[in-house]
Amino acid sequence: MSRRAWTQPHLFHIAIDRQMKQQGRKPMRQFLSSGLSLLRGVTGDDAYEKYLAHMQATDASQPLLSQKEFFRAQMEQKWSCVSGCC
Amino acid sequence: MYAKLAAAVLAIIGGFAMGGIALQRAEPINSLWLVTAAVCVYILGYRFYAKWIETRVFVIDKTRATPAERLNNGRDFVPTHRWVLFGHHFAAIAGAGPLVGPTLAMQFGYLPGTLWILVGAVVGGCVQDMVILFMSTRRNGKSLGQMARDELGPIGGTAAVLGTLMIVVIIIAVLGLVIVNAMKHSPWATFTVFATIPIAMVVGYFMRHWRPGRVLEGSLLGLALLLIAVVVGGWVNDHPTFSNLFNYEGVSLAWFIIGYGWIAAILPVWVLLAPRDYISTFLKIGVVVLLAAAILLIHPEIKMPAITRFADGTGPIFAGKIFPFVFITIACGALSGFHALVSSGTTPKMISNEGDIRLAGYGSMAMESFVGIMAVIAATLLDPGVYFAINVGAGVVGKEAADAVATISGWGFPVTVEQMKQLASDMGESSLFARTGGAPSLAVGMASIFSTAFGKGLIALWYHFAIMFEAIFILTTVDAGTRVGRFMVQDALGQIWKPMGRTSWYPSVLIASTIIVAGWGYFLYVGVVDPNGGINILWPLFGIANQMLAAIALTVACGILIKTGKLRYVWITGIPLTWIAVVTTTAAYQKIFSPDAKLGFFAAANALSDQLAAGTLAPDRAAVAPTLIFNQNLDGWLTIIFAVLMWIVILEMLRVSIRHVKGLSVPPSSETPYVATRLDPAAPLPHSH
Repeated sequence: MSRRAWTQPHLFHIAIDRQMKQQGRKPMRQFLSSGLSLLRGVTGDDAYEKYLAHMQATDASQPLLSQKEFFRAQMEQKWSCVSGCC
Repeated sequence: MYAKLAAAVLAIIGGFAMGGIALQRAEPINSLWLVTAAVCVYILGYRFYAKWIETRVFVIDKTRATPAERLNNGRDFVPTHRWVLFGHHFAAIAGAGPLVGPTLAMQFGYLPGTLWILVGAVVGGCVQDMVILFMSTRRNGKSLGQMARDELGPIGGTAAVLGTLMIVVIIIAVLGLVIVNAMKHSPWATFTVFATIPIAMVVGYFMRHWRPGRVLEGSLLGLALLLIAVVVGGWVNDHPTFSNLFNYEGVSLAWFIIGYGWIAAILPVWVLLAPRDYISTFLKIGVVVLLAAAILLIHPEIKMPAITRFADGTGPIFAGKIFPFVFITIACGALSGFHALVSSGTTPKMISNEGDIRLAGYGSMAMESFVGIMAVIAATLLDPGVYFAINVGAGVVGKEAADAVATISGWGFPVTVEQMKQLASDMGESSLFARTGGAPSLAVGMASIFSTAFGKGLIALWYHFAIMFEAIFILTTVDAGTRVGRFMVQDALGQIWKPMGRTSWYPSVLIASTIIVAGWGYFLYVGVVDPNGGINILWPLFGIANQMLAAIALTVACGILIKTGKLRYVWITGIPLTWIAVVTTTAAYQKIFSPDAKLGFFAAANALSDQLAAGTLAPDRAAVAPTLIFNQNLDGWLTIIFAVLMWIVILEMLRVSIRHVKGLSVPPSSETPYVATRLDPAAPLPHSH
């Protein structure tokens, strides 16, 4: 795992994933890894990575939000409408 | 071939389990029957009914681009992996509702509630959630209110929005009351619930400044701190000075919740609301899995009779016969109108393919229904006498422990003072009598399941863990609901005077928040001072409001089905709509016109004013009587408004539908036109990039 992954938090999980791929996924590992990525998806932990991937895929001229700005905007948006229940 | 065989086996097992539950009356049955029946019913419903709806009624098109793909902005419109979507939607719809409603409904015995949770979910609630999700997905993720306005016209739309605002006020009040009753004179519970506030703020700061966006790390940190808070609470409880610091009357706690809700609504979301919701999602999924595992492991006997004597309408927890009140009491868990708001909120913007709608809409609701079944098991494994002693207000059975046990034992549910004392001391509480609202009895049930499965010595910790678990949901509902209500009020006031509509203009924020908090704060306060516990009034009112919203959602769905040329399939939403309209109307009728003071709002107000005038009330009761009289009258009028709103939308839908069938002009369909997908349907999305 590179040093960069530790200093740039959002690269951390990507680095783990990459490392797993290099080692060749064993069934248990694969199970744990897909469990982790499910959990990250459900909790919104991977939202910024998805956003980055989306921005890279589309050649939009819009300025790229930093992780901090993105997270702030996400929270404001989520709680301006009904998003929870009884 | 194998699939059909497996389905047939499932159907046989499920039928056997259902038959076993329904017929086994003489001796106590095992909770495993309930779990088996539930799982079979959900799988059959999902595999066949939902599949049939998807292919025949919706005619989903996997080549059609969804809003998430067309409008992908990497933020709210994001194509999402189907299991992530399932987890996300489940976490959004599930809260304290499916835990509290089924607990209260157990006063009728386990059978009526269980059957409604299963049948109501597979043909009602799951269908509603899935249909609304589908329709919103075909309309760029529009909200229920917008769909009602677009498809039925302004009258239906306004009624739907007004109904939503009122249900938000009632739900905050009733859940606030649930948590106040759990914290009353309980230093341990009060400390733990109070501790969730600074913990959420620490996590909020962590996620904003130290590790922005690292939700998983923040949630784990929050979870660890919460567990520490539960343990420290035990120590506080045993400490002579500190325990006094956290020992409050209901009224003080109600004022605390009111003040808290007001501050939380005007604070930025990252301070309290968002971090607590992240922790809550994490905790929710964890506890559901843990509880299911523990129930399978210990599969307790169910001690509650199948049907109790209170089927006749004389129930001490809330008044009214099985029909219609079991269907009003259990909303979340079987059929809940509130879900329609979530199904037409964030979820439709995340669907990557129409083929995922069944799992997110139908599947998540089946899961929530299963949470309701677990709440049934937790409530019915208690001795029925204990269940009633915890859940019935002091105004019904008497303030003294000896009177309460005598009354409850007299109903045929034996319980002793010693037994209740022992239970309270096991749980680290001073008393468990008259802790209305369902949360404490659920926590006792969960604590006995968890401690039997994972270690006997920790039962008091498990009890307070369960209380904290419910408090986390409830405080999130208080914050989030107040915020949503605030936006609605700002929107409405903005129609009258433009500057009020600016959501971040501080005078507008303060005024709108105060209006909403005053609305639910009033109901919460009256519930707390009511000697009968308040839940007996407020929960049926909430149930009627929620089922009114379900009826509105199903009505919008029926209208859209008819307008899109699917008249012959309209029964999929038409049958649940007819049922819930009949239930809600009957319940509202009884609540308005019943001469029985226990049941009718106006009858209760009149009876109380007569007693007050005659001077037959004890001084402490006479002091609160004017407040209670006003409240009962207000509740009666609210019930009238709920019933009228529901019927306005239904009649409006019928009018539009008849015009459509006759070929007359109607508001045009707001479905977005077909665009072919460019995502590869054969290559499913990765969980994350």
